[in-house]
Amino acid sequence: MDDKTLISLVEKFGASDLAELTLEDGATRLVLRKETAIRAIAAAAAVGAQETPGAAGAQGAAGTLVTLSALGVSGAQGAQSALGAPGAPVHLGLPARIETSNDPASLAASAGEMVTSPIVATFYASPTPDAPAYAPVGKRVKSGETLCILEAMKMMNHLEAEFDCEIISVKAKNGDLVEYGQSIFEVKRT
Amino acid sequence: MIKRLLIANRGEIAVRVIRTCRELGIETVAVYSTADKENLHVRMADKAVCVGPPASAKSYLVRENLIMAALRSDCQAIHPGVGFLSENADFARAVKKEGLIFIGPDAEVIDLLGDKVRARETASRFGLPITPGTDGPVSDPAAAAKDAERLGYPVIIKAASGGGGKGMRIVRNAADLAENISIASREAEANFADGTVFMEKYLETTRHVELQILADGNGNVAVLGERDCSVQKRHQKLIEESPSPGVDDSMRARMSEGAVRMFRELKYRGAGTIEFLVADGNFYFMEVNARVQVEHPVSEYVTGVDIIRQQILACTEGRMEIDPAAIRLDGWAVECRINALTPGRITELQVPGGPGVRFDSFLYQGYHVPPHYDSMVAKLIVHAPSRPLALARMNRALSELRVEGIKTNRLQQLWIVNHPKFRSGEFGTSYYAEIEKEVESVR
Repeated sequence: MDDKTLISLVEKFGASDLAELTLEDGATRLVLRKETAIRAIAAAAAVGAQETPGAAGAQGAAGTLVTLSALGVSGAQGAQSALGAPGAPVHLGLPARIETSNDPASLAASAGEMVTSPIVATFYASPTPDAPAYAPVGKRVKSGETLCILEAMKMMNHLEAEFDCEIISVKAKNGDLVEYGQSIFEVKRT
Repeated sequence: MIKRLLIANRGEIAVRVIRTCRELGIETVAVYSTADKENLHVRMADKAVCVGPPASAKSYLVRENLIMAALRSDCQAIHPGVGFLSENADFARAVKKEGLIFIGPDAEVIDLLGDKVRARETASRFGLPITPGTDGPVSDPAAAAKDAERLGYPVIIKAASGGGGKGMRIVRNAADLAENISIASREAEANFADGTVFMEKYLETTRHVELQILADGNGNVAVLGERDCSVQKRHQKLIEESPSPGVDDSMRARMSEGAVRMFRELKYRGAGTIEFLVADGNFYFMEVNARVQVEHPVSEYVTGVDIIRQQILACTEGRMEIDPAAIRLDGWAVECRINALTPGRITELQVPGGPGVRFDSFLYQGYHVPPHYDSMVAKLIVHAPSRPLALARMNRALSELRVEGIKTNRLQQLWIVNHPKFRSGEFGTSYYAEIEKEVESVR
């Protein structure tokens, strides 16, 4: 592809209302993407994603999602590929997803943040049925401490706290199926 | 009968499977990414589980999440739909390992058919003609040059694990051969993690014809006629029809004979498609797609068989409700794929109706088409007693269709349907390239 074609393409793309353009002619692969498209991806899960959870909470934005990448954490992908890798360790730290609460009532009460599940799994509050829960209500946990076990495909994954926080409430019960993005803990940064 | 089934897919095909399940009395569990929360399949299913963020690599392709969702919602089976994990043998194996039924053939059969070199060998063994080509993979440039000389230029280099035009290069003279083998191999490696390529004679004016197969895994194999998918834009199908204007009864019988033997021998289970190139009254085996296909409704129209229903029965109970000997082709069916050219919110949707019209889609008014997935948003299918009547009906139905809020290819499809060469039935896979400039300037 020569410069002239490329420049003309970029200009036409800029003027069009396309959000993304992928061009492949065998020898060259060109991807043009407008900022709006990237924003659309970020905002797809939640209307009006914003930078700081605090600001979002104050404005009461509905369902604001702070993505893992925004927090500078490798995110669910790492966890998934590790899950799929042969010989992966049985005990695996999953970075927790953090979501600001979108429940108006709890917002008013506490402005807490939600720790959400990065995978589809079975929730266990403790390592064994008779052991005490890792993170009961009121407990203060340090960054990196285990919050719960998420069992997927017979793998016991430890969900770890991303920051120092206090547990305000536990949203899942022992043995519950938790979906991707489902709130598990409501926490307050300490 | 199973009680509950998880659909490891989204959009139109998920909706299609839910519809048949409802008629069978099977409950459905949908999965969705955070971008698909408002998707029609999520609304229609009995239960839905969120499996990840928008990128399909982190949601619809994450096997562990899909299998966990099935296990924890008490499903007995997983339907993979089309695309995504539908032809992934490892996924089929993992599903089975967890005690679930995979709606598709055995993992070993998927493996065999997914390797195009082995699939060609298998087809050839059952008497299906294959395009003249190399017996196995090519890598040594000197040996490849000899093979190409024997086959005669042009030749086509293809990826053994390929599809969708990737790792595929047409070579017209000896000077370009070595370079193209190396490029195709690198492209194949990058896309399919397998750099194996092979070489075939390239046939210039060919039709893409495929047989729809249904098999119960116990040796009963039914052929539901053929589909012609020659209208393709860079290997992406745009319009499909059944029967094919280029296939007569005798060719259909010869194709079917070899195909039935092959699928019987493989103990094939469920829905599958065997693809052929048709040129100058001859046909050559291309590949098998071990799953249901997007364009299956045209075959449903001409045979009156619910393919998804028979696929589910074959895979869950080892039986079908159809008699292979009693399948008859009635009339002519045509499908136009309606693709979104932009993402956006559907502000108005007017669905065509009347006799012989079917509209399979996941669109509804107010739905926001996300930018993350395949561009196909609907399939418009018509059925009539003959090809001219079917095309008149398609012209009418496309004119009735209104989708506001996003741009679609509706006018382009209308243009093709009324184009003299398409109307004549005399066209091959190079047809779209010939008309591309005109079609894409239609406004």
